[in-house]
Amino acid sequence: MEQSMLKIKDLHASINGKEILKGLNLEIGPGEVHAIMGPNGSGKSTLVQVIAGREVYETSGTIEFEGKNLLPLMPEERAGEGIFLAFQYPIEIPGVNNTSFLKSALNSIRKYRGMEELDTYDFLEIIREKMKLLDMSEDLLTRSVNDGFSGGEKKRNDIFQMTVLDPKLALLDETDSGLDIDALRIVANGVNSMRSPNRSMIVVTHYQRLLDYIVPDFVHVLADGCLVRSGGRELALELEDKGYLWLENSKEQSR
Amino acid sequence: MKAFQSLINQLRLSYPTRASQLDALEKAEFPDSKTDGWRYTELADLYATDWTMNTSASANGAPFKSLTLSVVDSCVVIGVNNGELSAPTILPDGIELKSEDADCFDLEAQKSNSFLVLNQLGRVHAVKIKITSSFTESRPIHIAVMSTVPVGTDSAIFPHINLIVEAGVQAKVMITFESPDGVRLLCDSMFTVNLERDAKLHLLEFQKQGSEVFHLSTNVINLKHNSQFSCMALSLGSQFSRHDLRVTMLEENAGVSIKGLYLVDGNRFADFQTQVLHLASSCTSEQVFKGVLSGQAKANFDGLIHICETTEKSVALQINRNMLLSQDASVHASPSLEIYADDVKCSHGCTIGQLDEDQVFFLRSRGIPENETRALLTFAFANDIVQHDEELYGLKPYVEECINKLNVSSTAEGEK
Repeated sequence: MEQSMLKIKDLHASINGKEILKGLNLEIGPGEVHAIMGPNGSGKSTLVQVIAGREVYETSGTIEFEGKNLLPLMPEERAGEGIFLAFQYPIEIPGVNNTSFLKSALNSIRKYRGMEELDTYDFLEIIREKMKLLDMSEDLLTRSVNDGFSGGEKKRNDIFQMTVLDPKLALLDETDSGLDIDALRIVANGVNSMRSPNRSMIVVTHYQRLLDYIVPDFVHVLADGCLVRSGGRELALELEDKGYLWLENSKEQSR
Repeated sequence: MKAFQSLINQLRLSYPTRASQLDALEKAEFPDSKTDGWRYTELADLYATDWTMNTSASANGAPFKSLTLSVVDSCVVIGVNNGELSAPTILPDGIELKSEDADCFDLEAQKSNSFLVLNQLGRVHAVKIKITSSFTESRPIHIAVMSTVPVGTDSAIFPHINLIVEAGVQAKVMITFESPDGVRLLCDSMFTVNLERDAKLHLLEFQKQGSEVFHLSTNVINLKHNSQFSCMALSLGSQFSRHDLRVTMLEENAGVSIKGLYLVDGNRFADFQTQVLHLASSCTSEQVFKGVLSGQAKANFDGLIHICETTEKSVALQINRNMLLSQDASVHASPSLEIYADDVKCSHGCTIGQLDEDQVFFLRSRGIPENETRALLTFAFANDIVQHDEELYGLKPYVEECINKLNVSSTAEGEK
């Protein structure tokens, strides 16, 4: 395997004294899409939240991103490094305008990277282009962040933010939950348009269905805080067929 | 010793003819923590100070530059300096102005509030403003209450203002309370507003007195048939502020809409007391109050909606929301409804909360630094009260700045 983009070693994470991740190892190369599947409560959301820097977890181990340990970094610094988390339940923020929020976010990230901040004109040009991609209606821009959005609109807005912020590593947490088939297709199109040799993705999902739209290079099964099985796409199909129970006693570390 | 005794003795000598006020004060008790409506009002420092009667002319006070005078484009400025009227001799059409000693307020009815009685004993005079049918201005009338007493005198001032809006007249008014920082002062103010039939008033109340001021103000608003009163009350300054708002809808089809915002930091205290009385049918009232507190600040909100038995088709709403930016800030909130009629539509409620950490994480994960995130969310909380510039007469940027400052100070405290 070539130089990896993300290297997670012996990652432990606990919240309120309860250990959720119990020594997880994972390596992801540039351009790869990894799916993480697993039963409820296995730690899938915890994993992506810990990578993104959620501070409520106590952690040990290392998460190296392009050779840099992420764990000491704050969430905003990790965003600056190129991490993006699409939320399982995108947060509503009444009173904060969607466009000005996104402009602050993009300019904060550009500042972190030592790039010049964009003025309103250049910014609007970028977002108009990205909006078409996700079939977003213009009025979503003038509203408060996710406030009064439908489930589908929220997810679309999240992926829209991803296309604007242009991360190197995208973490998609149950992006399919709450989406109907049409919305799923639009969101998946948005994600697929982002695939590139320089951008990696972790796709967390319960169901195989999402992987019909976003086809992964690797599939991992997370159970009880560890990756217990890794394989190619066919592992997802096998899981769909047999359920998670058949893996119960076959705990092994991936790679 | 009774609170304010030496102040009352000085006032007795200066106003020997105000026997009825003196008599009422002799009998009255100043409220304490056992008095209804004052339970959570932080009175100790107010009572511990030996306040004196202000005897100096305003010209002798500490130098002071008014923010509102420099920002707001008003049609006339009616100054009330240390309680004394000062206004241009030529007024816009439709404004009648006078100052007189006669009471514009029924002392008997207000005996229960000793601070009102004290105001009526200590006021220089009653400022009476009448807006008549020949008034056509769209710009606001600015009532500028200034307090410019000398440093170190612990002076008390007693602004006393009565506003009448005649039948069918529409007007915008702002009443501002300002004083220099670093000057300790008691401001015990009384402001009454009478809206005649079909009158329509928008009032901006802007309190940004110095950080050592003890501010007590009582606004009494009476509405007649089909009159409309909208109000924005901003409490931004003072060490201690207590704001009583009593609104009475005397006749049918009157409407009231009140928005309020209090920003309290350091070890300051702010208190809002509202009473909205529906005495007639088909009246509507709406109150939305928000507070943001940081440091060791304290606040209190008591709201009452009273729907009288003889009324029908009353609509009344009241909501109070509070945001605590620090562990040490505290707030008491008690919205209440007294409904004695059947045909009503009423709601009331309150919330006390902190910034939502899920929202904070979401914004930070998008790259926005933590301090900016907290400022943005605090601003979002408070902003729906003050988002319409036309209700603020150009003061919106200043209020926004106040909200942002509050957050900066709380972040700095958090880092200590």
